[in-house]
Amino acid sequence: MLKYLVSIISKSWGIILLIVIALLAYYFSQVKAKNEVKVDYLGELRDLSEVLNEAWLKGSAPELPRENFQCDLINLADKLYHSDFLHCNPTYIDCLTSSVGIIKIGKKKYKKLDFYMDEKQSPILTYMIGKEKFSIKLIDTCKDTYLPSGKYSAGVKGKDNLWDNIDQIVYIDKNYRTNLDVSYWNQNIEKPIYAPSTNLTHKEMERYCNSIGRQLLQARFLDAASFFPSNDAYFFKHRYHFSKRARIEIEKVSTTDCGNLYTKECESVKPYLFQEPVALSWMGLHNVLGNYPEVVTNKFYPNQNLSESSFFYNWDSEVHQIGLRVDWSAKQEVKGAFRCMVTF
Amino acid sequence: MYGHLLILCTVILVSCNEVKKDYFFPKTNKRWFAAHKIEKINDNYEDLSDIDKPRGTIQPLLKIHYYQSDFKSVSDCLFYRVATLNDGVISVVENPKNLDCKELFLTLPYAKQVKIQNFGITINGDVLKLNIDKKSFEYKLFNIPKPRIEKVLNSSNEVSILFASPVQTKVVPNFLNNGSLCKVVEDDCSVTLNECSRCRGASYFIINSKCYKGFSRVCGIDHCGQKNKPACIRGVQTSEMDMSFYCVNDSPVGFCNEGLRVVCINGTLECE
Repeated sequence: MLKYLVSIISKSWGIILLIVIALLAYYFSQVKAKNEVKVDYLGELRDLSEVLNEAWLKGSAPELPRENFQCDLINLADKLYHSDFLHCNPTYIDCLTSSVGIIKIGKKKYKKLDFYMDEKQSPILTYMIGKEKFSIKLIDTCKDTYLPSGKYSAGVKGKDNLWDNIDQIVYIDKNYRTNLDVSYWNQNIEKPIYAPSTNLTHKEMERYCNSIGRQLLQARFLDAASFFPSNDAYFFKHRYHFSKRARIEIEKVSTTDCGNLYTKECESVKPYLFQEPVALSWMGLHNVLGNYPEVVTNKFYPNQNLSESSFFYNWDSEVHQIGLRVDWSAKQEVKGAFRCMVTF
Repeated sequence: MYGHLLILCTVILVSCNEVKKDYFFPKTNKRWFAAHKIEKINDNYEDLSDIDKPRGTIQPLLKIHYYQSDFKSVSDCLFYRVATLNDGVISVVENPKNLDCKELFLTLPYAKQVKIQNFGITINGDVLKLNIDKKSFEYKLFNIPKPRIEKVLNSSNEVSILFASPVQTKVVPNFLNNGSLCKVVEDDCSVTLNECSRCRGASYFIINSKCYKGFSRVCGIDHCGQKNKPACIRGVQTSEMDMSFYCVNDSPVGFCNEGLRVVCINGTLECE
């Protein structure tokens, strides 16, 4: 009986072994397939991107705190710039993510593998999720603002040089381009990095804006963004962006006045903060008058390309007037700031 | 003994076949979650929700544009061999050179679904669904641009984040040179080319058609208004121009720098 059983077992042994191997192969192939079918990485990718996005737009996130922030170029203790400077800032987000090291979201941990910027200055961060490397591109939604389509008039006076941007979608930089922005293009780090870039020639400004898919701001668009909008019949042009009065006599300039127009007197009234949202126009442009002299491209009158209104002049100076420009080539000693614009 | 072995082999083969089928969704989803554009490429189908004709033929249906790991835009082509009974086949072919999908009929697919009886596609905003017999593969497309909201204080960029697929292929740079038209608006206002994202830098408007509500675009720095350069745009409404006659010297729809005049050369308004 025992002999018979042993013979049966030995005969079946090969078959049993084959069945076991087959079952194991089947099991492992199914497990592999199951893992492949699982697409949890997308959920994790979304969680991670939400954290990065919050820090990109607001400067920090609970999972990306500033406590151990270290950066060669940016000093958080520096009181000379406004917090807006840190929003949509590629260098800052690189330093922040490196300072934090591993991002912890719930029980998951994410290690930064790489950081670089694309040709249009958008930062790309690479993280490991599961066994794959995923890249996230952060897009600048902080810097520019929409100019509504409508009829506008360029220049200082009445109904001169009418034009419209109907069927054109226009966005203009809210503030001047900074030394940091320009350093991504020419690899030349001018300090302070949060200050407006004022060392470029007109052609370099054009080339810089072109490198990021934009054009140097044109005078007529700056005028449109600065003057209060008028109806089609009559373009009444107010001298200032913050008042309809033709002239404002001020004995002593106040903090509020400096918020409207940062002039020479303001340096002793209100500390100067780079990138501060002051001198706002009706559609959200900063520093419409005052602050830095500004260079534009003028398509109607090419030689009128520098707005002199700045903190080099007192409040009562004639230069503080929307649309008033001079020939920059005749004022080579003046260093001009600039902005870019984009149309669709 | 041999009977057992035969059954065993059958089990292994069947199980392998099942595994192969299951790879379709993960393989495609790993790329398509980073899709930024879904292009319907077959004019013969108005509606893709039920593709049952012409039976037995291979039809190109979709071109799925997505960002690969370095954020270069590449695409996949989706073909369907229309089922006669239950022999329909979906095949997805990699298209890193962004060729016309018709040129890739004979290319080996990287993902395939076979034995299909019924097949249809629905695209709803940022969700793509492939309905295959009783099952449905649903793809959430994270990079599909939202419609632009033209509102004061809004940014030119509607999203602040984009995702790349971990997949990487060799991509041939496909830039347009400065001076090349990147958007073409025809006289009837139809847009026959719209690829200004292929410019190395910026692009700008020119006036070269009778269309009253849109302009063509050229890659490069905007030198409009300067001598021998395109005229700047004053606007159709402001100039009250009948665009049927836009192509005349001193056309008011354009303007030039002080001292220059608008001329029409080969259908484009320029400055002289």
